[in-house]
Amino acid sequence: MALRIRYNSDVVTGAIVLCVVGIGWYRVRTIPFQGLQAGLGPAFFPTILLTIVTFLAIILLLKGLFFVKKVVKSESRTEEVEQSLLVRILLTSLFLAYAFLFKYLGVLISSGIFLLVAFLLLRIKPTIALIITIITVGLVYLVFGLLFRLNLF
Amino acid sequence: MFTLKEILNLGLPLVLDGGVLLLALAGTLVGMFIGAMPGLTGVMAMSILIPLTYTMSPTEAFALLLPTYVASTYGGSISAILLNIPGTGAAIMTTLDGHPMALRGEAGRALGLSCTYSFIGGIVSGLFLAFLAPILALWAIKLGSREFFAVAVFGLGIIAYISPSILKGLLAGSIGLLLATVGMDPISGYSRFLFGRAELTGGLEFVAVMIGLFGVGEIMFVFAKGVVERPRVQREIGLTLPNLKDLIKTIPTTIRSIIVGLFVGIIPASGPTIASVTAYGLEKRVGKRRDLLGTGIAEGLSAAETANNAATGAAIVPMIALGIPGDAVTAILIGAFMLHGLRPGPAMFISNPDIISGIFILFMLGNVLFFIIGLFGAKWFAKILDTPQKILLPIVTVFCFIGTYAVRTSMFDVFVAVVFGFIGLLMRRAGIPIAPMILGFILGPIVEDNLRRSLIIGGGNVLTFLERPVSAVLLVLTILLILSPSILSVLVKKKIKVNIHD
Repeated sequence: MALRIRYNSDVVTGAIVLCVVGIGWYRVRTIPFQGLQAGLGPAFFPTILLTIVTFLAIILLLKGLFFVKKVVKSESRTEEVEQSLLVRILLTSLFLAYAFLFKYLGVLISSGIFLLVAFLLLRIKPTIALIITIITVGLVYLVFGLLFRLNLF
Repeated sequence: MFTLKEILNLGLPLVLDGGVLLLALAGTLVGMFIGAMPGLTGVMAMSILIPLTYTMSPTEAFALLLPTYVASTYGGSISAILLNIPGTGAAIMTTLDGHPMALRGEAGRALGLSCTYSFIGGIVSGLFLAFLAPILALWAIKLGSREFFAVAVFGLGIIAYISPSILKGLLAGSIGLLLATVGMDPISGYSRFLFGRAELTGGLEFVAVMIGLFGVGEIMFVFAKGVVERPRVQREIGLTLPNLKDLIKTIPTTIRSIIVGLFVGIIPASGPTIASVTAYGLEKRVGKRRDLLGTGIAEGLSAAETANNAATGAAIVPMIALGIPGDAVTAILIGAFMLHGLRPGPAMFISNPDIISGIFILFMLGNVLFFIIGLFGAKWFAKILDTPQKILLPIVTVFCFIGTYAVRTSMFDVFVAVVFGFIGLLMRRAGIPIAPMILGFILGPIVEDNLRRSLIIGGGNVLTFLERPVSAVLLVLTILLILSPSILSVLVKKKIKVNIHD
């Protein structure tokens, strides 16, 4: 099982990097190659790097496809994870939601909502979650709002 | 150049200020706290603190950051001793002798010793930094673009070499270099890879990338894996003052570990963790009581803790003297310089000798502060270790987001941090190291600028790098480092074939 995961991770990583690099190759065509000296313009360095990254990603992809031979025994997990898969996915996605809320509701309200939801997903008692949220948001207001005079709304 | 008297004359007036001292104290407390908490790292603490330094003077900024760095290196030993979980990578070896001591009911003794050894290592390291950095800077003034290009490439080569997979280390470093090309070309002023976003003209915001990869990415990774609560801390800690007999008995180990720490620390990408592992390994080979290592003896703590803190100052030497970061921590420190419009390197020793002197003193001050707080406040820190991760991680996330936003009050930077958080999560899952990417990102402008200048000087001839001995040696070394695993495997195969024939 562990072998399959490792095998896939190299292939998937190589493929993702190649896709991203493809976008880079597409964009670099619009950047001039000529600078103070022939060929040393603004596109010179990105082109070298894109070539290196493409080469390395292809090797990673091939390594993942053909060269992983060792069978790695899967390690039994001794730690007990309290959260279900759904909760873990929700927690990870919460970061994106927080960034959007940040934009539309301002720093303080969005931080309060993020904290409360995260604590509840992590099964912290609602009253304790609420108290910690209020204290943290208050602290944020004190440090960033009053001390650093940052616009938090 | 830079005698002790000059350092004190120039640096002390800057450091002896109520605000600066208060910031140093705050940095020490934050560093010890973050270092002691498994899952939170010193790099993460420093990347979260950087935005706070935006409105500060450079001296105030380093008063917060340097003590955080040194104190977090020590702080890792608190959880290593009490919980058998290293708070930072540098405290891995501390668990071997520190925790058995705690199990015997000698937690106080172990904490006191680890604090004292860390202090000794840190202070010697600070003196080493103040002594060697000016000498290296003086030498670096004579270096040209070819040498600087080679030094930067060498740094990237080493960090890729020590990565679990050289291929993945190289890939991460190259992607970091590529990310640094976003924005305006430093030579022609042409805008590259803007994707229609004017916010990217000045390049990707360093703080957003840093917080994204190290802060948001790490927390996302923990959330994706599932939060696991730690065991509770042993309640009875006892007296934490070090025993003089223990300290005298371990003098040879301490001296050996200082030398290892300084030597390993100055090598780019090595840092406190490798120093600690190397010093412990050396103690296992040559130590008088090597057979008892791992059972809870003072020599084990001395080897691990003296070496990792001795490496902290040494790791800063190339960053401050050459302007080339060697690892993630020094890359963050370079970022702090950049945030204040400064560029570390030989020129800074002439243009801002007061700030450089202040840095040397603040480094020492950080060590003194964690020593005092560590000896008398270890019990308090042990109690803090009981804070559940489930409470801590969302709070740290909030500070990551607001810290990113605070630098330029830019929502775009917050999205950049989230994007890099996801990239960090994927990299961790795929086993791709983060440090080479950050190093590549910081070194990008240095590498590009010096590469193009060198080629312009050399008329476009790549062999121009071999005309200068320093650049030639470093580039050859880099190539050898990267190819060494393949060369070794070919040699081993040949040897096996010869043996079979025989």
